[in-house]
Amino acid sequence: MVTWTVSQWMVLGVVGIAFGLVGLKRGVNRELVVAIGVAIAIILSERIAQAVAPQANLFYRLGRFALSGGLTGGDPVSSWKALEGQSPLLEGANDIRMLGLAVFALIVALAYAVGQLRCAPASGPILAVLGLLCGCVNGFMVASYLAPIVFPQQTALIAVPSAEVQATLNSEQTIARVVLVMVIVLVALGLYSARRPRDQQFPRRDDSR
Amino acid sequence: MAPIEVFFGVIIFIFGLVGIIRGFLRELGVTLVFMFLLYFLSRFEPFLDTGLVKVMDMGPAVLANSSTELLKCWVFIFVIIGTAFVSYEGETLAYGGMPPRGPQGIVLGAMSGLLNGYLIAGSIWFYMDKFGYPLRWLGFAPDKLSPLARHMLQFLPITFLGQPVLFGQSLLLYLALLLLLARVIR
Repeated sequence: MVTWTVSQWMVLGVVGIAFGLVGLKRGVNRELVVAIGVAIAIILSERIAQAVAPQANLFYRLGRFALSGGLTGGDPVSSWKALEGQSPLLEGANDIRMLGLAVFALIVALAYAVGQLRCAPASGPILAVLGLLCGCVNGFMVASYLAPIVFPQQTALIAVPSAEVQATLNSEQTIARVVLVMVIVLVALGLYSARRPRDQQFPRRDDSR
Repeated sequence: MAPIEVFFGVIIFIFGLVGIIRGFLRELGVTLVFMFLLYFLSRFEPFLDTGLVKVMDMGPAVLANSSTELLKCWVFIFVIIGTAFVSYEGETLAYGGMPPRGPQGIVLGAMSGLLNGYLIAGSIWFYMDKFGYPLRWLGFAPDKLSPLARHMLQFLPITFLGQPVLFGQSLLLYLALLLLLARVIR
């Protein structure tokens, strides 16, 4: 068995580089929007999750009631009583935490989308470098929020089934699927290359005659 | 008679040449049709099988079991070949746009032709295998399959692409819908 020990700086470095490269491409204006979004997400995600959890459980129960026939079913009273006896969708601190994680991811994704749509990209090297730095900061904030959830213990041991990885990579089914993906890419490329120029997509009518 | 995998490879190669001549956009129209056909056949095969048995059920005294399998095999092969004929004959199915030229056009045409050959020949082989190679006059039989041929059976289109991937539906459906979407939005 091969043992690799990864220092905390390497982990932070990888996260920082990943977010930094994204920031480099997007520019500082967009990354500032993300920074605000991440800050809001860190503050509000747990609170929103706790507030939304009872409603989520109610709607889950309503959905299951509807799927079992609802009010038009054979015996709606019994169906509803049976559902009341079942465990809710979200119960316990762990479920609420997962919901909070989902809310966090949603807010951050929204921040990325708003930044992408409303702000201009990096138009020069200075804005790109500032975007890189801002991206690193965003990565730091995201890592700070996720680390206690992903790594709750003092040491995390990640076991990689290397034999299974090799077997999967060398499997004929995997190779066939990769070939299929390549075919799809080539077909998509061919269709994109074959598109008409914009002025020929909707040819103008000649009104002079 | 040559091994079935050689026969299969030759047919795919011929379709590849046809694809180069016809062009990528026209071949893609055939691919679209076959993706839907194969999805339909794979999804509703149990019902089709039951229906065919009822239609052809003339009683074991009149129609021996081997003839039933032969007839069912012929029905599916006829459907596939008929669909191929109609698809290759028509122009409406071709995708619009400017066909790629030069080496890109040749490569894409060959690739799409090979893909269609794989779908057509592979489906015919699938049904021959499913019904125990009833077309013995072709020289194919279950006990004459080489190890390579047996190995290739798992990669035939209905077997390989018919595996459920998402929401219990096969890749055939999603590929067919993607092709249809590309046809409509362009």
